[in-house]
Amino acid sequence: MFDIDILGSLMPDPITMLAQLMATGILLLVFKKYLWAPVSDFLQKRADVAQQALDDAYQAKEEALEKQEQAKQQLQDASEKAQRIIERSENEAKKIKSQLLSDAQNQAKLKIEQANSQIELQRRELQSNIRKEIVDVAMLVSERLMHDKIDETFDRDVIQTFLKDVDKS
Amino acid sequence: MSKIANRYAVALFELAVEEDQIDRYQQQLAWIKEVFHDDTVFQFFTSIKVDKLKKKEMLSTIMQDQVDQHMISFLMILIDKKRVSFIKAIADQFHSLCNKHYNIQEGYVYSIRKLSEQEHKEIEDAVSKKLNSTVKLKNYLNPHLIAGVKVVVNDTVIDASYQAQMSQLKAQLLKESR
Repeated sequence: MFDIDILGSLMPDPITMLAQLMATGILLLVFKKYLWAPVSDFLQKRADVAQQALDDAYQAKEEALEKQEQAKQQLQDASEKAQRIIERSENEAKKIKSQLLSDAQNQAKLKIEQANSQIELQRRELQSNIRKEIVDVAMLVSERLMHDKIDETFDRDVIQTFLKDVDKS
Repeated sequence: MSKIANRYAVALFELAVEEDQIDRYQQQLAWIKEVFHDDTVFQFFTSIKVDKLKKKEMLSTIMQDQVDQHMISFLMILIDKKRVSFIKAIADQFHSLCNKHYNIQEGYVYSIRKLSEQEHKEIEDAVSKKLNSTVKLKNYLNPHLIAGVKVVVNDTVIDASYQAQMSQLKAQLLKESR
């Protein structure tokens, strides 16, 4: 049977371990002395670049958001403006329509009034002409009758009446 | 033309007033007007072909026994001044001046028949009284009057005819029927 010192094998050799520790310490010192600063600088630069990129991206995002907000606002304004224009146009159109209707109604009313007054005028003229005609005929008949009836004696009486009237006045 | 005639008429009228011969001059001028009413006489005295002396001789022959010497002299002046063509206008103007002097107004009375002398005089008297001047009227016939008379003296019209009454009645009827 094999006699194997397992426990002894498992335990490190203190000298070796010390040497290793010293080597590791030397390595650490060398590393710190020659590599730490450049690596740190490099890492710092990388970190700065990354941070800058992040900041830029953040700022770009902020700006984009702001612009989006502005665009949204502008769109809103444009929409409101367009709405106002439409409303104004509608109002204007309604006003014009109302005015046109009113004018047309007034004109129609005026024409009707004119036609009525024309009709009334013509009616009165016709009535007047008829009356004149009747009076003319009556006068003509009367004059003819008088011509037939009036004699010299009557004429003398008329002249005497005239003389009395002149004398009185 | 009337201004020239008026000038001569006024001069002659002033002479007539001065001599107190207005009626006489008026009668003589009326007679002269009648004489010159004849076309032959008028053309003879207004013709430029006839010599003035011949005209004067002829005038003296015609007028000598009919009119005064003053009147003949007046006509001679008209011949000299070539104003004989104005003689009718001068006579009319003189007549107007006489009427003005005597406050006489002339006019017309229209009737449907010839008025009797008495009616004529009565109308003249009545109108004279109304117009406060002596009115002399000439009678003209107008059958359209129907009856009565219409007197016209210058701007005054007195219409007492039945025609006027009918016109008034007609106007009234037309007015009332409106």
